[in-house]
Amino acid sequence: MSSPAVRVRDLKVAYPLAERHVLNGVSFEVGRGELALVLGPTGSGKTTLLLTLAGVIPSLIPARVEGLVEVAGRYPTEEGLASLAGTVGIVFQDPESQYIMPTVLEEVYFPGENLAFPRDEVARRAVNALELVGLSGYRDHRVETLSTGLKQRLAIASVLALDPEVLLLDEPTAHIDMRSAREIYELLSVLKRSGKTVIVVEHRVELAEDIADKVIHIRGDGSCEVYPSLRDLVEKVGAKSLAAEGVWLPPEYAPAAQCREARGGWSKTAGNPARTPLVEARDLSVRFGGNNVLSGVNLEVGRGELVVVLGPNGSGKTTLLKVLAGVLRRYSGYVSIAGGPPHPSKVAFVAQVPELQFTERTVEEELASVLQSRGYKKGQALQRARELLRARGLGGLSGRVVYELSQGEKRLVSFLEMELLERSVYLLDEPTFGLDMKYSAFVVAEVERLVREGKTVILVTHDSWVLLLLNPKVYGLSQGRIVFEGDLRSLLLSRDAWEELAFRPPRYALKALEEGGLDSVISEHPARLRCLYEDAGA
Amino acid sequence: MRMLERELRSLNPSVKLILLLAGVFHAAFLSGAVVLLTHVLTAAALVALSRVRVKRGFALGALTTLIGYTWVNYALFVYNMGLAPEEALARVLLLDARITAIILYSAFFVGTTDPAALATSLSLQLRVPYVYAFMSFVTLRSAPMILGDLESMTAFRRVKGYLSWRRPYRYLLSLFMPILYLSVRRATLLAIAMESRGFGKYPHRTYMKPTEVTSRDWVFTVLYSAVVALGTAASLAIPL
Repeated sequence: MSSPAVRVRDLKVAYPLAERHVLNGVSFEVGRGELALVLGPTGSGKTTLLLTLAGVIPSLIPARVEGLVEVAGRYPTEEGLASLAGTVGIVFQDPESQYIMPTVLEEVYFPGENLAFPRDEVARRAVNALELVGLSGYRDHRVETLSTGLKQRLAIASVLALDPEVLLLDEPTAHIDMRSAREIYELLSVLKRSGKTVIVVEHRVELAEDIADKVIHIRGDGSCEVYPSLRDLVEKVGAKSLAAEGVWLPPEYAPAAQCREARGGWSKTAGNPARTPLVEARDLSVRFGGNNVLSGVNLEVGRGELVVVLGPNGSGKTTLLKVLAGVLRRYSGYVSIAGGPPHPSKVAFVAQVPELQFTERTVEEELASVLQSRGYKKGQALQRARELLRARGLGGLSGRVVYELSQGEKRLVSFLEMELLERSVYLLDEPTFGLDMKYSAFVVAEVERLVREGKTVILVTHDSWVLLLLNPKVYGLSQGRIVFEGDLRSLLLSRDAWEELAFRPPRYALKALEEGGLDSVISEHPARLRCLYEDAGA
Repeated sequence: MRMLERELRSLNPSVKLILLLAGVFHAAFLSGAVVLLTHVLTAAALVALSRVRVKRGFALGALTTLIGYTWVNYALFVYNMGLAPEEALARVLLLDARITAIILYSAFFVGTTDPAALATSLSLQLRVPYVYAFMSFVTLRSAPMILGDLESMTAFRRVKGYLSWRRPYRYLLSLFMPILYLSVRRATLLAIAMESRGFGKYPHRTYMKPTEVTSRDWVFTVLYSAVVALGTAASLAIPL
């Protein structure tokens, strides 16, 4: 191998006031034209590693850095982020926080303009970058009108306009549907072949597995080990440990022997829903600024039933939940919740961004606030909140400040506080949005608990892994219209509907479907995954 | 009319900013009825000719401010300063005219100015360092996100039954922390995204859509100045 594009030797990073190093003796090399996949548990320092390689740490985020970091012959920890612009490009998981300019073309002009390239050169690079990511047809679109998947591609295009030698991506598919996620990885594969060096942090390993040249596994103590492939990593570290770290392992890595007992027990999540609908919408339409956000939607959900509303970003899923929750009142058509018009006091609503729900400082106060609004005295409410946390094995979170929790822990707290409302209808807006598999498994378990308790659950998602684990009734929403209604089996057989719903089953499921193994997709594979993640403590 | 609308919307943002600021100060310092009437009519004409879409919420806000302002000032003039009701009403109407002119000028500026063009123009025509010029633009961009967050937070508090009329300050405090947290997080990520794309690396940059001061801007400057000068002269000739 010629001189590596990225060389890291004994890297140690510690944030001010932190008791321990986030990264502790990390060493690896990535060659030119290679793609390295970075894996590790939440909080192990994966993002810190990328920020250090980009020069964000310590120039913008203060931290004590020791060891050698060399990227494309430059020294990021000494030169800083701005100096490395053009050499290193970084893309984060949330595309909403990354775009700057109002239109697609202006966004890809932006980096070239900043580096004071001649206008011809800026235009040439922008056009090339848009072509590479497949956004040439969107050049005059306003960025806010793009779907989340397209916005993420735009973020990559904007970085590519600088033609960086090294591309760093921090969970680039965490917020997007499976189809868009696959497209992003096809693009990364092209970039790799064109000689770019790519380092990507990713929990959904099935996306990167085939194109990764090496796997950098960062352990919980901040140290790391490098493996030539995922299979080697699984063999050495073990599927159970990786599952406990939140890695989305395909079922073929789940040891079959451990799962034999589980196979029969997990075939169906939903119980026996009552026939009388608890939630009903007939010919529901919503218009915003002349656009039809929802158009003639018909939906019926019985007591104790689990329904998943599936669809691409911008298809009207969240608007549907808002109407059902009674917080959006400007609609036409008939909507009934528990026999009457929708009202916020009839439902529990779990937010996509948990922070939007929070009203208090600590976890126990947050949960107690819900009980206080139901008439509990403060002392009683706090006591009950602590008991609930202990019962769920989360007693350690009681006194923690809600904003200091990890994203997965925040989601669990937002779930628990809605459970305390004890409503009959639960509306869950993308509850696994941005979560690793461990916390997604927690969410799945909570949803199942609600259904077992006879609650009606309407869950909005574009996460095909979760869909397969829950095996629910499915409504497919596209451009504000219901384009699919049926069970999971029908959805898997209706390939025509996939395109409209931006639905792609996980790769393992797709492979099994192609081999005619529909039953294994619906029962055996989810059972193996459940077994793996439950065994790993999720 | 369409052509006039296009011309007004194509004015250089810096030229527009300077002229409208001069107009606002002119209306503030010269309190004659004719001057103020000139400004109100000019501003209204600019809004109408450039076909600025005024949102219902904005219009309602402006209207309620004006009504509240009128009655409060009228009461102050009559009961605190002991002015005769007619004189108090006249003074209040003059104050209202000033505020109306400022609101209309602002609506014209906001409704006809592209934030990116404003940043470019501040940098190219007024020589403001581009790093600062773009700050205003980025701040404007985050406003709808914060409004969206506030809307969602209010909805979730209604679901939780959180509002207590006995302690309304608690409700306001509960909104403050999440907004602060989310804004800081977004701002940090945006700052990293901008700097990683070379923002601030050099003191100068290329502009793919540079703004210029054209003959259109000179014509507007002359016409606007003439109208204001005429209003001033008329005010001196007809003291009201």
